[in-house]
Amino acid sequence: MKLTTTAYPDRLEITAEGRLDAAWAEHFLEATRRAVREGHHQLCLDASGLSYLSSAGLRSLLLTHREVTAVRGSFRIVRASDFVVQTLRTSGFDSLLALSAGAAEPEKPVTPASPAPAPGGWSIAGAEVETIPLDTAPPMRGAHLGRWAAWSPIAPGACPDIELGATQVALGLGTPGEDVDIRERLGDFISVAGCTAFLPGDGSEAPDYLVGTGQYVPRLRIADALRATGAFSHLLRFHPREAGAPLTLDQVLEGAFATTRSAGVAAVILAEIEGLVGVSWARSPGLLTADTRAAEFPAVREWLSFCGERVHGGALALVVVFASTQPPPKGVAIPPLPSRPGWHVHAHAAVFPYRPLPNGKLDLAVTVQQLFAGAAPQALLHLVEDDRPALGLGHSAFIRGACWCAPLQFSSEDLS
Amino acid sequence: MLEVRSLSKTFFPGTPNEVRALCDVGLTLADGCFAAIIGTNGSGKSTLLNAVAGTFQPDAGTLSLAGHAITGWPEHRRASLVGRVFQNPFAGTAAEMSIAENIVLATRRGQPRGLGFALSRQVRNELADRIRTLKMGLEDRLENPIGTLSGGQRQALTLLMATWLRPKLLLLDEHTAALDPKSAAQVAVLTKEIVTREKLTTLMVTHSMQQAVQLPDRIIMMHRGRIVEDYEGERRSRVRTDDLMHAFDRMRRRDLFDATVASTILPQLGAPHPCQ
Repeated sequence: MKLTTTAYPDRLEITAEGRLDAAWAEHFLEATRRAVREGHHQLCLDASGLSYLSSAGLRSLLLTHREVTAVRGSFRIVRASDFVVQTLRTSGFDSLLALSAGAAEPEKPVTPASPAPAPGGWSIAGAEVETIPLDTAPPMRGAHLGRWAAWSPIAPGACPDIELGATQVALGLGTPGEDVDIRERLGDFISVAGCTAFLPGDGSEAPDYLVGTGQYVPRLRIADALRATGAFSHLLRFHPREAGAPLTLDQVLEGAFATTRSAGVAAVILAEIEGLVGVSWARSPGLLTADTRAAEFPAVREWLSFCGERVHGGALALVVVFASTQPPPKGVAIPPLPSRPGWHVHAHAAVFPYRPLPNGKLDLAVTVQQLFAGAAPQALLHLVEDDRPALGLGHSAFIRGACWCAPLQFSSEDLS
Repeated sequence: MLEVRSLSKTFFPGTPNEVRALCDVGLTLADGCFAAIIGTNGSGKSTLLNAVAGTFQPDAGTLSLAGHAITGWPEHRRASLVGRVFQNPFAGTAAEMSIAENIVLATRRGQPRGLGFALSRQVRNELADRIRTLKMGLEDRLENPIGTLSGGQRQALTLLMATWLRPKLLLLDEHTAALDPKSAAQVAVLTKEIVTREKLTTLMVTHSMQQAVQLPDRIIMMHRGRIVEDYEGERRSRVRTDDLMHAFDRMRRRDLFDATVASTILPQLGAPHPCQ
């Protein structure tokens, strides 16, 4: 079977020639999934050249329909031969697959071109960015909780129990449970829209997670956490132009700073990963003692696990970021970002198996709840930059996705 | 019971080719325990097996097997307690001799051998009965030279020979690695059957994560001459191949975590720069 694709302003048309049977069904599915992954959610199959359609082929059409519908797209079959029409009608799928004999679509394919940025919107070379205003609510209120002095011993009694509800985003060092868990299982976490993922520092490779449903609100004992409460003001949707490079974390944050016109932002990024660079706890920092010299090489290798290469390419990342282009207020610790002098960024990423995201405006809570309702998170990393000459792994980068952002203000009340 | 205490071995010491193959390795294997040793190339797993078999003398440490202190025993003396199957299916058998002759030699391992006829009708019948358990149809081909058999058949026979006298310890050195996938699976199943039936204390080196998860009671992971993971008991029961792959990846990442990485990432985690 031969497949050719042509992009029109309102759809991607796939022309299939030959037999759509068990031998080619997977090939067809791969092609449609690739198209969806590249952001084409209005698909059209030109079936005029289709000489045979088996049940396996029919299944691939139905799966495509289901997957495209899941991202609020559409899948139609046009110019189908009598045989294909008859097969679809007999099986009862003709209405489901929006079968039509002809099509009156514009015949002129489009060459990829970037739309003009929205007024006041942010733009960057190599990527198409859509800025969607969300809420005119006041800036998100930031709080630095726990305030662990890095690498110092952690007293469980000094680790507050905090609620991580639907209107909050947070990252830091925490674990659910009692004092013994604090000592042995403390690790990095993120929390978005009532969904919390945490990687216990007990050697676990897979994160655990708590999803707030009904009256249940996840709670963590935390040694250190940055938490923002409130609503996001903007949503940025981004994807690369043809031959465009993926966006690095600092480039996405540049967009967040520009869009919110604020020197401090809280952001959640949900995007397909080009590669992540980060670390996780190999041992719980709750086990640190006064005479542990853990922040020195080689002892640090017993405590931290470095990714060693750019990881999780092609998967989906849910990233929580607290960032500032100015020194954070007194009482708030956000580490410096080496590549951007003056910037301070703290970012944790939970990694999920890839699933396509709908285009356009996305509801954060719904999207994140759906994400956690699907496959479990596969990894959780504290993102870092690795700018070592020659050997460096570079920066975490994202191919396409969404970034919810809002101005962030740390109130004096939270700093007391 | 096998007890390995503080075993160390360095090859080519003091030369540019110096290799610290075993570093202070300690291991206790209870009677009837089936343990797999996994690890990357050069991790020391085969060296540990060879040290137990007596192929070389360790630089330091002690070995005891079934109550015997065997550290100073030569390899041939240990053979009375140890059965061994090698990676090469053509090792461990005499190609020109018949299946029956090879096996009857194995049945006399570690025992005095006289000049009498080894193969009586009764012995042949006993051999045929045992070989029938392999379910390979070899019981009807006892007079065929063993060299005419396929690698899988030969390895199955070698396994049978190595366990004929119910050794105190069975050593399996990647014994399915040189076989085609179907034969490897067949020999793996046979291994599990024999080891379980005979309640043999067994140490198996393997590169197959699938085998490591499916066959043994205990999984030992080696890296750079040390035991770095020991999955037994409750922990063993929930191990999957993914967990073993993660553990390998953890070792690899640890090797890549050098001083330059530390000085790059620690300041980003709120620690003072190491140079400060």
